[in-house]
Amino acid sequence: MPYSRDVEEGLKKIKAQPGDRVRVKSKKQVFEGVLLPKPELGASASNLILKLDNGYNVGVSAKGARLEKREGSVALEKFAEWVPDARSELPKLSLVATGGTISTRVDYQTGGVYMLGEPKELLAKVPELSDVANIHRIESPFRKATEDMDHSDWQRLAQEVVKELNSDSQGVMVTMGTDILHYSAAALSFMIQDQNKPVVFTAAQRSPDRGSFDGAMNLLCAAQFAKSDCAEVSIVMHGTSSDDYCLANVGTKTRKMHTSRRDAFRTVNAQPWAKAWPDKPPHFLRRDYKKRSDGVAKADVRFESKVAHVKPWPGASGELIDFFVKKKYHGIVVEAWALGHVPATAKHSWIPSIQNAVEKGVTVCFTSQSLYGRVHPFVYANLRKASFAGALYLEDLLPETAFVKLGCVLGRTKNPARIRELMLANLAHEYNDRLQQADFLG
Amino acid sequence: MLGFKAGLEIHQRLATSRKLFCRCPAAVGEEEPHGTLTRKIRAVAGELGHVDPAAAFEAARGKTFHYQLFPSSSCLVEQDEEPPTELNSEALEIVLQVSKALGARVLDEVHVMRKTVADGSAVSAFQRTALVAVDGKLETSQGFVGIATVCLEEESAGIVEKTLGQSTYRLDRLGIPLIEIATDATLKNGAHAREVAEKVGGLLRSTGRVQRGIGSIRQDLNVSIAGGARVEIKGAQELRDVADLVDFEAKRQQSLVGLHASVRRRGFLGLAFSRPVDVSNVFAGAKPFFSKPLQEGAVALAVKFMHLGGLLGQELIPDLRFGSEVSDYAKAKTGVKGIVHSDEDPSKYGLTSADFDTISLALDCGSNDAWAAVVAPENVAVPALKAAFDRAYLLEVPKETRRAEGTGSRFMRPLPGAARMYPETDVVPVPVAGRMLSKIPLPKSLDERKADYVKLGLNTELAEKMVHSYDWPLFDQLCRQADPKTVAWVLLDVKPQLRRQGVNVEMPDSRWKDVLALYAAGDVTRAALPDVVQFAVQNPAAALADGVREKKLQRVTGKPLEVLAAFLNHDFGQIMRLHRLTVDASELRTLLASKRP
Repeated sequence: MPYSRDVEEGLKKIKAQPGDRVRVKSKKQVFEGVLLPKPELGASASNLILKLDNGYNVGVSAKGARLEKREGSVALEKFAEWVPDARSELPKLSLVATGGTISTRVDYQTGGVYMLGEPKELLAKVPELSDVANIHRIESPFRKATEDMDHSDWQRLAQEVVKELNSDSQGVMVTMGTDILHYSAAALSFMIQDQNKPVVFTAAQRSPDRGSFDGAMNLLCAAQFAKSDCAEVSIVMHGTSSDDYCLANVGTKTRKMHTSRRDAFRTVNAQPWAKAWPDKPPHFLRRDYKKRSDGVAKADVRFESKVAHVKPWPGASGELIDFFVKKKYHGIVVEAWALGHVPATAKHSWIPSIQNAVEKGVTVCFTSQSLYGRVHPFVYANLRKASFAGALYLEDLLPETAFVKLGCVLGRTKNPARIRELMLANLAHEYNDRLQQADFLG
Repeated sequence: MLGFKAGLEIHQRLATSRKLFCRCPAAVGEEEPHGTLTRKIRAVAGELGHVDPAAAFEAARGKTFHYQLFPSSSCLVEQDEEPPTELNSEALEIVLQVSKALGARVLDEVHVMRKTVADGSAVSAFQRTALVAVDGKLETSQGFVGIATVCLEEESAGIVEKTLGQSTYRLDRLGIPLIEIATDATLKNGAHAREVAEKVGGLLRSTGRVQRGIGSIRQDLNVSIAGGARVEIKGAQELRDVADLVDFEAKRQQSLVGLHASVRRRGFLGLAFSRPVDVSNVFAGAKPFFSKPLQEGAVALAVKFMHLGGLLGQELIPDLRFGSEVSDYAKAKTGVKGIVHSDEDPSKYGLTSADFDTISLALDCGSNDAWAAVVAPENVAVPALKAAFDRAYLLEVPKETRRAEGTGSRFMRPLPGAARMYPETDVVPVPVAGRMLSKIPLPKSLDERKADYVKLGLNTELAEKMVHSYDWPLFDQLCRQADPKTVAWVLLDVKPQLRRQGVNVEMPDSRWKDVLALYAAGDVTRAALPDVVQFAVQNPAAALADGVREKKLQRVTGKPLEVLAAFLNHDFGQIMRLHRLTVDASELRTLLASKRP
């Protein structure tokens, strides 16, 4: 939002741009400072935003005031550039940067946080990275906020990452926003075939403009993990609220469990791969990962976008399912209650709709709103009804992972038997056959 | 003194129900911490792309910060794990009220800023602060003093412990609203600074909406002289120290200017820091403070300070030598415990003058030269000596932030520049509309309030004392519980008396109410109130009735008093001597009068 017309005209008259030093003189007051662009939110359009010499920003009414341009303009938005240290003895890593809080900075246009920082700016904030690895290539196939991403971004990302996996890099780090980070990690877990090196997603919950930026330690831990022999897709983020260690979470079993905490990303229904440290190699918590190899990674990026993710609420009717069938969707992930319940005997039962969907060739999968634990098709009579209607019960699969997996599977085949087989197969550690005590609320 | 300039910043915690940007109560509690967080803080660029020198300096120290968490007074906002809520409007109202009373011009729109703080006292590494008003004035005995700015900001976290490379803070204090009032630099001298501090303190108390108790108000002082530099002295808590702090700082700068001149007179033309010499063999025989680290792998290193012979021992102000200034830089930058220099008494360290001569010899020192030594691991010792060396040869008064210590001050860090502020993007700007402002009442003047108290029955002396007391809002509340004279006696006499006995007499308002209610209900006598207050303060969780029983303070009244009086032969003196705390004298007098034939 620009300043009001009066103010804009006044500024034009004195040829003042953001960054110029301006004096605002009205009957009751005089203010002088560096003119800042008007933030989009909250500030009144007739108030000029000035940065005073004492460092404070203030909103000053320009109504009826005399504006004057003064000597002493400053250049806004000057940021340090990253100059990679040539540390050729360190392992080479690639960084694929896609935006998000980790590559943000203060934006004066919106009064908010700006998503499209140069990846180099980000690395300039974590100079210690050059002691951990030789980040010899930074690619940025796209830069956007995660909430604006869709499957086509995963496809580009998978291709870019596979290109890096097959380069002379020893591992690939991917930076991204946090909102759908876990979907993206799941997507790459399924899209990358014959993975030969670590692919490590990392991000930040606090922006790099502040001294408490959590992304710095996340990046260092991610680099340490990308040097390890774990040729899997992982999400490396803070393990606790402290700056002590990160967890290398399993790409297909991770969920953002808090809106804002540093340690929001948790492995659900399983153990993380490892504890990752900023200054030493990771400590592995499990050993069933694929080891680094000399093979060639491939990308199978086929994805069926007509997949829906629905969630019943008390009283919700099966019309929800009918809607997606009518819209020619090929797959539906139902995030059911607990062991896998949906309304089954009431007037608004979902069972006929599910039966109809399956008969029309739509794959219907069941996961749980409980997130922790397994769905089970047979414990109660009502569960059996949905199961007999043809729904697939996806054990302990997270609903978001189920959504991504169904998109990938339907992209590869429309054969019902093959779909069933692939959906129930453990392709990328998305299933845990043996749930244990420690797998809950870890 | 030529070019003397001084200004004052007064910080006062506001008595709001909630903190400035979260819903935690704005009170420092008596709770025990129930957890700890550990964080690192990094240097960041400001809005205009600069890294603030103060922030860079702190970040370079690579410190680890521990934060104590409290069950009822810290939430995810203080922990930098959740965005702030909107600005507390109750706090803004108080600041607007004070701004009006100071005749300051309130800004059309208040923008919350992030002020970079790298010492760990804010978990986010910034303090939220907003400029609310400018250009006020305050009448003093020496004419008007300008009030440059009135700000609303967050209180910092309280320091618990500071050791080498680690600091521990408590989060209950972080985020309590704070008003900051900054004068211009026209204060005439220390006494004038004290007068201004007193006047502003009085005005703040007159709103009745500021916190009381230790640390709830503190003064920062800005002082410079011609040839000196702006120096900020932080954290003067005692009003009586303000005058000395200002005057001694001016004197310190004057002494430094003189000292620099004598170095130049000695022919100083500039020097490069050369590699220190190992003097571990000398310190091996020193006190365990030195010899023990040496056994554990530390080294003793020394460097020559050419032309500085005799100057390190020169006293700048009472109890502060130039050597201490130099040493403070080494301490602050590297965490060493201090340096040893040639102008010190060797016996202080368990060494002899022959030992000092050995070091001088090793460094080839002439009579005009000095040296400094440090015992530390080599990777710390070299930068420590370098920091000391750079400070010693600066030959100008550095711009510094210093910490008040009694009537003097010690170096904390370089003075931060304006680049330490950038917008708090999680909080939208707050328009301060004309109507909102006009509705805010001015605080009652001292005279008006004094007249009110006289009307309540206090004599003029008590009324005068009460209007200047931090406790007047509490007095106003408690007058609803009991007679004003008794309340005034409790707050103005009993409370200071207990404090003199070493009892910390701060407790929540509700607890005071309970104490006075007990008296008003006739459960205890007036004479028992000091004991009841003491019990209430020292046993914050106990029921008052239990305390009264335990201390045998229940008032003897009615029938039991008659029995007691009869038992002691209706002897007033005897009864009061034995039962002063439990018998109300006037009741006894009436009783005895009725028994008289």
